[in-house]
Amino acid sequence: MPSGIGVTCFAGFKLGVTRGPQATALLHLGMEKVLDPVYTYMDYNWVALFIVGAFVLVVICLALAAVLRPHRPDFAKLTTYECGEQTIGSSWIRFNTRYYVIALMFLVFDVDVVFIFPWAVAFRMLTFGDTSLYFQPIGPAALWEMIAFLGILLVAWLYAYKRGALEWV
Amino acid sequence: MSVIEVVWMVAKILIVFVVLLLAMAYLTLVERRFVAWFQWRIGPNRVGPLGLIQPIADGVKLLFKQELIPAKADKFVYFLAPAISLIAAFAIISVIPITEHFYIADVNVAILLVLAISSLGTYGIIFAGWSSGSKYPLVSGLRACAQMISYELALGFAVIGVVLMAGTFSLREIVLGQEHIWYFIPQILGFIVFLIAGVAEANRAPFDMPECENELVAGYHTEYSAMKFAMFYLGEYVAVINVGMLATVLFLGGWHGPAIFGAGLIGLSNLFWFILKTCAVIFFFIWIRATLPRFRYDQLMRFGWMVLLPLALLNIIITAGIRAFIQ
Repeated sequence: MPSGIGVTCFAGFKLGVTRGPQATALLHLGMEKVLDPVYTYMDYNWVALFIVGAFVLVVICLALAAVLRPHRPDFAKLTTYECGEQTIGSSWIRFNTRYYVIALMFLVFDVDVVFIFPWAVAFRMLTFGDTSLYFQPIGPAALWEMIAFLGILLVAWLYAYKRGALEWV
Repeated sequence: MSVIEVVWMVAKILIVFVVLLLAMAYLTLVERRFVAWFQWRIGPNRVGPLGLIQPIADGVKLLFKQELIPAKADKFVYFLAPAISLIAAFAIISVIPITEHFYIADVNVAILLVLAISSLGTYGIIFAGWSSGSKYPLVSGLRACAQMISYELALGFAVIGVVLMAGTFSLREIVLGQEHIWYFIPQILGFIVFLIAGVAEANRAPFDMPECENELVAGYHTEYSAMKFAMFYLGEYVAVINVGMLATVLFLGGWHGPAIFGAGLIGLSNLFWFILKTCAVIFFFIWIRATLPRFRYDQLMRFGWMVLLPLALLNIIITAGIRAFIQ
């Protein structure tokens, strides 16, 4: 199930880019104070190196086991486990549609999470302003607008609840 | 990026890997001993003094075991599943700041990265369930997927409260912001939601629906044996350690000790506090595993959607309200 957060995050997953061309262009506009905290903490190359390390660990584990273990398959060992009964038919069968409903619900709410995260990060700046920002702070409106947004979300949640999408029996 | 920098980083990564693998191995022993004591048993104590060599004996045994891949399995996906689940569990640790100066990477969107990678871990489980070509793993994989995406929402919403307090996504800056007050005090509701959703994300009892042995044999890894099974096992315990470290970093003040103890030994006391808090959270996990009975699946889903999600949303609104009117 693709996660909204996952997609957003990996879209911005630039390996090794610490200061992109966009950053330099914006720096000329005199916004370095705004951008500096954003562009200095991007150690994505170390994250990538760490993931490579985990990959190497997996390869070592599997290769070592493949060299050491015995390999003597026979018919009974290769059947799937069904509590001792003979396996009947394929296991790739139709399953309950509720899983699709849950996946759809998840998608709706996950997209909302993606919208709320940037709001949460900028909330204090939006409300009280910041010396390095050019725009005027909007005060408590930052809160009211998010409450309106969450209210719409609440209607969606209530609708799903009334239609029984959240029930399992 | 100089050569020395790269060498130092490779050394740090090696240190983290070795410590993590040891911690994971001994976490299995600690958990078995604690659960045994909770249930008035003795637990594994035969291999070495106090059973201390047990994890190594287990590892060696799993290394030499025959591997049985079912004839009906989809071989490539079957092979991919444990690898994804282990790599995803490990990758999260790269952005967690252990002390102020010891961390692998300080990333400006660390929280989003953590959520993204942990949702990749779901793929490992659903791939395993589907590719085994067996019925129990299929049911388990579907259940696990529905459960993890449901609780991931509550987890994400609970974290937003912390982001509102700190005003940044960087985990290191979040800990730096907790110097005076640890966020679990103003964010008590978020902390509770985070812990419960964290238990469900790591597929631990009482939310271990995907592998409840009295319904689904062994869940999504029923058809896995030997090293591939060990990798799932490893991934699950690394996920437990991850949730412990994340709770420490986000809510329990990370490397900061209580103010009355002062700064202590330079650096080392920071490491001590971080490990102590992480162990406390992990002990809490073992404790509830030994204490609480398993949820039924419909109860589990209803709890996630009807209780945790509204609570987490309420927490966001309360936090934002307080932050908007108090300078």
